[in-house]
Parts: sequence; C-alpha cells; structure tokens
Amino acid sequence: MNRVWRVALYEYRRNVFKKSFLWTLLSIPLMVAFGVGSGFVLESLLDNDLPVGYIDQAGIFENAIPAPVSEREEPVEFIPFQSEEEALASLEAKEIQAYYNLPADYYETRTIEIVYSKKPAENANRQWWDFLQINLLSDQPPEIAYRTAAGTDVTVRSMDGKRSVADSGPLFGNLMPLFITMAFLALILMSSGYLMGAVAEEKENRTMEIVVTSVSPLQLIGGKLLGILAIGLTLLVTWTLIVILGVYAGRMMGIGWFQNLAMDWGVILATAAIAAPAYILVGALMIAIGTMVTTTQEGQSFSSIFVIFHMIPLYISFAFLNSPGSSLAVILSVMPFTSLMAVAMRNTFYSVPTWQVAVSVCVQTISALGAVWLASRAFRLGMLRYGQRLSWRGLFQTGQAGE
Amino acid sequence: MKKTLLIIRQELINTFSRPSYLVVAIGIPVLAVLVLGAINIIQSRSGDSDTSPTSPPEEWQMEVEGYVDQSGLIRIIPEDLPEGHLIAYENEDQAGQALSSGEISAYYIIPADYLDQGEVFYVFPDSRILIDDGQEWVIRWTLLVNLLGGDLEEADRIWNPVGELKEQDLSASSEGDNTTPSDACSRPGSACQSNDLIRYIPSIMAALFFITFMNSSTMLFNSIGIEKENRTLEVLLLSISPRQLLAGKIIGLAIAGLFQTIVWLGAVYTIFNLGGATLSLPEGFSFPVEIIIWSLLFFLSGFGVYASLMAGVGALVPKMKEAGAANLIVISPLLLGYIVGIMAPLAESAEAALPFILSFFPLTAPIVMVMRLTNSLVPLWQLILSMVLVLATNILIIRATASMFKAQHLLSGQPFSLKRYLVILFSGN
Repeated sequence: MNRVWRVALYEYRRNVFKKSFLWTLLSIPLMVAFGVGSGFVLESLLDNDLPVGYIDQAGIFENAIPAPVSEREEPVEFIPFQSEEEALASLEAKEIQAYYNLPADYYETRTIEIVYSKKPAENANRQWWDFLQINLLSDQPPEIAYRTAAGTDVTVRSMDGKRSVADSGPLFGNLMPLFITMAFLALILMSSGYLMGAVAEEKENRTMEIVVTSVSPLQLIGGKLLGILAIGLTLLVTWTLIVILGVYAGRMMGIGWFQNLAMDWGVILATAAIAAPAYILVGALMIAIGTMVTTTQEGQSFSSIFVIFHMIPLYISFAFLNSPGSSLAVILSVMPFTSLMAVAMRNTFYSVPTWQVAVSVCVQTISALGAVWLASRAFRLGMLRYGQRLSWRGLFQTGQAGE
Repeated sequence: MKKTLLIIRQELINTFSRPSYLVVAIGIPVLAVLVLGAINIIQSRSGDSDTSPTSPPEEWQMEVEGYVDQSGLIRIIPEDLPEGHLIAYENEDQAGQALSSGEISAYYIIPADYLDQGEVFYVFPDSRILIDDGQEWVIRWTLLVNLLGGDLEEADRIWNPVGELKEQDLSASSEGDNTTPSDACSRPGSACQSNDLIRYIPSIMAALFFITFMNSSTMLFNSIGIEKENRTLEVLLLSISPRQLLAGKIIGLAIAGLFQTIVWLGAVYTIFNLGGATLSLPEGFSFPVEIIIWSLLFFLSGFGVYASLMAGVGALVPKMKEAGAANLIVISPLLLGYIVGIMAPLAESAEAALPFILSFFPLTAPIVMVMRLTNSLVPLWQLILSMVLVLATNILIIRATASMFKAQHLLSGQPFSLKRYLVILFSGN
C-alpha cells in the first residue's frame, strides 16, 4: 500500500507543482465568469430605461399612479403628451423610445396604438402593462390595485416541501445537481491529458522498465489513478471555492438569481455519490486507452467521446423529461456513463426514488472496479508487447490465454 | 509540386483516418439530422406535426384541483370555471390526503400574507415534474376575480387590457420597407420578432464558424507539432523544402476543414429547411442557399489566415504542451469576432457600428460577416470588399508564416516567445 501512495504522491506533485496547472485551475472559472458576465451584459443591452410617452384620450391616467416595479429593475418613466405631434417630435428627438395612443373609445374597443422607431425594450413593455393595469384600477383600494397590477407569483412545490421552482424559473439552488454534473464533465476533459499521459511519459523515457521492477502493475495503475483523482479533487475544491466567492459577490450585488440558495442536500449527496465512481470509471478507462494507443493526442480524442456518452440524456431529454418516471428514464439513470446526467436532470425537477440512486451507485462502483482491473491488465500486456499497438480484442483474448 | 501533392495526400489520409475528426465532422451533424428526422417521423405518426392547435378549446378538459386559502380572500369560484373543478380544503393535511388518493391532481396554498407578498404555492405530487406549468392560470384568475369583488367584466378588462395593439414602425415607413411580420420570418434574422429560433440563427452561425475555425486551425498546429515532437520533421526536411511542407499542409487541411464545413452547413440547411414543423418554424421560412455559398467562401479565405498563424506557432514551439498561451494570443481576434458575432444578434444590434466595422477587419470578418449576412441582406459591395480584404491579408500572412518555416526555426528547440514570433511574422527573419 505504501508504494501505491508513493506513486500517487509523485503523480500529484509532478502535475500540480508547475505553472501550467494554474491555467488549468483557472480556465473553467474564467469561462464560467465570462459566460455569466456576457449574460448580464446581454440582459442589460436588452433593457432600455429611456422614457415611454402616452396620449391619453380615454382619461385613464388623469391622476396617474406609478407602476409597481420590482427592486431588481430600474423604473421606466411614462410621460404624458397632449397631442400626437408633441409625442412624435419627442420620439424623433430620441427623448422617448415609443409612445402609446389611447383613443377616447378605449373602454369599448380596448384598442391601443403604439408608435416606435425601434421596438420598445422588454422592461418598458412589462412596466407599461403594469402602469395601465394599476391605473384602470384607480377606483379600488390601493393594496388591491397594487396586488392586482403586480400579479401573483406561483411557486411550484413538491409535496414534502423540499423542492420548489419559482415563478421566474429555476434558481441557483434548483440547478445545483446540473452544475455538479457539468463540473464533473469539465473535470473529465481537464484530466484527460493527465490520464492519457499517466504512463506514456515513463514509457517514452524508458523509466517504466525500472519502475516495474519494484511496483506491480496494479499498484502502479492504482497509484497513478489515485494521484490523478487528487488532482481532480484539487480542481473541484478550487472551483467550488471560486463559485462560493462568486455567489457571495452576486448576493452582495443584489442579483436576484443568487438570493434564494435553498437546496435539497439529499439530491446533492446523490449526485456526488454517483459522480465519484463515474469519474473513477472514466479515469481508469482513459488510462487503459492511454496504454493502448500510440500517441497521447490520439487518446485524448476519446475523452470527447466519453463526454458525449455522458451527454446522451441531455440530447434525448425531450423523450423522458415530460415523463421522468418512464422506463427510458430509469434505464438511463442506472446505466454506466448516462446515469449521472440522467439522475441530475430528473432530480432537478422531480424526486428520483432512492432505490434507483442506490442501484446506480452500485452499477457505477462495480463498473469502476472492473475498469481499474482492465487498466492494470492493459498496462501489463502493453509492457509485454513494447512498441506494439494493443487492440481491445487482443486485450481480452491474450488476457485469457495468459491466465 | 509533386512533393506538395504527396504532403496534401498524407494530411488527408491522416485526418480522415482519425476517429475524433470523423465524429466531429460527420458524426455530430449526421446525428443531429437523424434525431430531427426521427422526431419528424414520430410526430407524423402520432399526428401532431401541425404546430397549430388541432383541438378546439371546448374539448380541453380541466383537471380537478384543490386549494387551501389561508388568506381568506377566496369567497367565490368564478362562474366561468366548470363546477367542482376547484375544491376548497380546510388545511394542507386534508389537501395532501386528497392529492395522495388521486382525488385532485394538484393543490394551491394561498398564504395569509398573500396580499403583501403575492406568492402562491402550487403543490404537485411526486410523480409530476416541477417545471410543468399545469393550469396555474386557474388560481390567478380566481384570485383576480375575488380581489375585484367578483366582478367578472372588470376582471376580464384587467386580465387583458389590450384587445388589439396597432403597431406603427416609423423606421420601416421612412425606409419604404414594406416587409410584414410574416415576411421578416421568411429568412433567418433578428427582424423576426415572433420566433426566437429564427432570431438566434445568426448567433448559431457565428458559433458554428468559430468552432470550425478553431478545429481546422488546431489541426494544422497539431500536425506540425506532432511531427516536431516525434522528430519526423527532421527526416522530412531532408527531401522537401519548408515552404512545400507548409503549402501541402495548409491545402490538405483546408480540404479537410472545407469538407467539415460543408457537412455542418449542409446539416444546418437540411435542419432548417426540412425540420420546420419540428422546430416550430413558421410556414414560408427558408434558409437561403446564398448564405451557404458566401459562408463557404469566407471559410476558405479565413482558414488561410488562422491556419497560417497557428502553423507559425507550431513551427516555433518546441513542445506542444508549451503552446497554450501562444495559441490564446493568436486566436484572440477570432474570439473577439465570436463574442460580437454571438452577442450582436441577441442584442438586436447586428447592424450596429462595432459589428459593421469588425465585418471588414480581416481577422474578425470571417465570423462577423457570416453573422451579418445570415441576419439580413448585406449589400454585395460590402461582401466583396470584406472578402478582398480577408484574401489580401491571407496572402500576406501566408508569406510571413512561410518565413518561419525555415530549418533554423523548425529545428531550433528554443522556447517560444511572443516577441520572437511577432518579429519573424513582421520582418521575415
């Protein structure tokens, strides 16, 4: 066991204590920050806080009541005009983004005209709607008028109350299982280089021939895998810390999406319990492939294939998301490679039965152990056939003959 | 010339025998088309391919649901709701039991502070997915009617205060543009307000071209890097000149990249032209073939620019692992084009000053111009001018990169430095 730890420690130090690891460490958080930042920039570009004008011939806004505006957005000013000429001049001078014309017969026809040079932004439309509603209710008590115009937020909730989805859509806590799955997939892509090159370097510089005189193939592969798992854990812990910092900053800045962080820890635990053996499974298979292919680049293309396998539930989600308890959903939830994404997707908006999670963890663990065994066998045979390419068929056939 | 042809042949054999290339170039687009085809077949068999609703509203069956009113606001059930379809319960336990026994399909909880907070809970059984909207309008309507004292007419006016919205677009009338909303949705672009997918096609094209350029130019970098690392290059340079090698590799991989782009664009063309019903595209929508032709031309001219720049990095980097930062610097203009190409249509600013300028800047034009021509009709002179600028830059950069393909650079083993790269690129020494 001591030798396994030594190999693991060597593998960890060799890869982590160098400058290029910093790039690996920061690349995913930077990409996420860029994506989230772009989203916010885009959202702010879609909003337009320029005033909106109106010509009220129906007498709705005689004592105009301001529209109810949520804390998260800037109020849009609504400017009254006496005539269409005035409003048009203001629009052409770009003082307003559009103007509405409410005719005298509005109450009978409910017809309104809008004039613009460019369609008014979403926030302006939303606030205009509320402005119109609250002023149509001017004869009602203020709290009734306010509630009617502000509307009702319907939060969908599970019976046990552990899971809920707000009216505005899933919040950060809802999507946590999917984030964990995505982090895991990023981890596979990031670790693929280490995994594929785990034995390649020692083989290339012939150190391997000396190493195997004192370490068994299983110890070597086990140690390498352990070391790379530790690298993966380092990446995950760092990413988690950065995410926590990001969420904290988001909350401080008052971003609504981060305000409610309530999450079902049972679901998080289930996702992590499947992710750990699933990662070992992919890791061991990548090491096995690394020992079988001739170049590291050739092997790395397989990492994309593993990621594609994991994404299968996402591609065919249309087939099972509307009936998350269907046979297809259950099969995808217990199969190696697909189970992590399938369980995460189902668990986000549905309660996956505990027995399915338990079966999935067992299947993943057995597959992972099998893959570790396979990797050590591939390595042993690869050593015997130095310089020759080892095929999958040959791996099993020769293995049987050799035993 | 014969040696260049040999290099081209070898590059094509190497590329087309790589599983990863085949998966990306053929597998993914073919899979996308097959999935769409399968959905089309399933929908046509189940008879729901028509995007317009087939059943009249009166055939719609309202589910029986319950509610627990802790606010005391609900006094009447609106007359227009079918009787017995919204059942009151004293407390949540009773409602939960009714839900578990299947008497109701879901229930609502109206908290005591509803008037202040405006929040209502919609409780689903465990077998139901939480992103299902259900029939939440029922509780919204019931609450509205009760807030207005049971006045259905007033509630209806508040529920839908605008029966008809007459729109007058001054920009369209001033430009003499007679396009109707349905015309705007007959081709991709942000002018189509009624269909999000059609509006986002220009962004999809920008993303697709970014991936294609990245893949293709990385192939050239890898090809040179691998041969440097395994020392094949030293043997090759005994019988072939560095320029022949560069020309052979660029042409060979341009063919492979062009093939990949044709397959991808073919998939896009097929998906959007044949999968209209599945993707809920309006009738009369078509993906113009001119976009495909111009896109291919821009790919070919843009490929030369980026492939040459990447080849230069490959020539100067002693080990592929050390090329991360160098690659990032080279592709940064492409990244800028990608960001603008994606964001501009989403922000409905595809014709704003920045994308307009970047569609003529040779390092960003291959992406941004493709986005612009997918978004709207671009005048022919702009397309030609942009193409000429990209081609001219292409020639200059290939010439500059050729100066890096000298034995003293290829075999030097010196660490990569940006300064050295730029000096050789601009001075040729």
